[in-house]
Amino acid sequence: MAKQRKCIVCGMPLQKKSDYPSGDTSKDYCKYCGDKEGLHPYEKLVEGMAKFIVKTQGMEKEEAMKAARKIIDNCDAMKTGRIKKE
Amino acid sequence: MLKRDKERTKQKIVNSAICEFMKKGFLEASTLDIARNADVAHSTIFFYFPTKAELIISSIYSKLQKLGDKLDEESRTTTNVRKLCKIFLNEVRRNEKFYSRLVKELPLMPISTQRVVFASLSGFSVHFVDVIYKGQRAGKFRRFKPRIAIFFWFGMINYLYSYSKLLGTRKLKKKDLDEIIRFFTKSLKR
Repeated sequence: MAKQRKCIVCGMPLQKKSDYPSGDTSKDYCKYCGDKEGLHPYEKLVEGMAKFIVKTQGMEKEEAMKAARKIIDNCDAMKTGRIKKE
Repeated sequence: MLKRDKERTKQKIVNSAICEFMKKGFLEASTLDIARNADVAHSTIFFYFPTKAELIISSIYSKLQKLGDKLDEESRTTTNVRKLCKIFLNEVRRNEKFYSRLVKELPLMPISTQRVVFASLSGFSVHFVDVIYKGQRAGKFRRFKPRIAIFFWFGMINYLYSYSKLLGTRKLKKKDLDEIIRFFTKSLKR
């Protein structure tokens, strides 16, 4: 069985064309973490992930920001230098 | 080291971690024992998982992968919250020991670990939120912030599994579980 592709930032499963930015299945990140030009800047990624955590887990915004920062600091995209802290 | 060797080593560590977490709990399990049982050097653990939180998160997603996959598949095509609830309950019951440990011990972990582990569980709750949003757009459900439903659903499940021995959670019959689901789904509807 082929290994499930996941976004290199947030880990979202990449299954359908609509999961990818502009339907481009050659990308290794999801439509929320980047667009056809590339990954979003660090702070935008943190803000986006924090909003997602607040929406889905009901976390308090400040706690969600701290969690998002930690998660993104440790994601594959950060480790390989594709995201840089501003 | 080849990429697939790295993946294999990583999975060996995660499998060992799952065993140790189930045997001794998330708090008491030591990375030294995890390394020993995975037959890797202690430092190798930290190469793949710089913090215990990351190892815990990987073990959750590995152990509950089937749950994640089924929720993902179902939420893409349905507005049937009841189906999601059934999937969730069935998979949690299959992994009862692991899930009970997690819900009992997560509040006791250092806040920095709690924060990241809790946030990562959004990978499961997002499916409920998506289906509720779809149901609201279709006019089936009342208008409210979906995370309120998350508080209720996960709050109730975590209560059942935090006090599983006292509540006899394992002995709950199918009709009890169906009633729980019916109670929850009814609260969402117009």
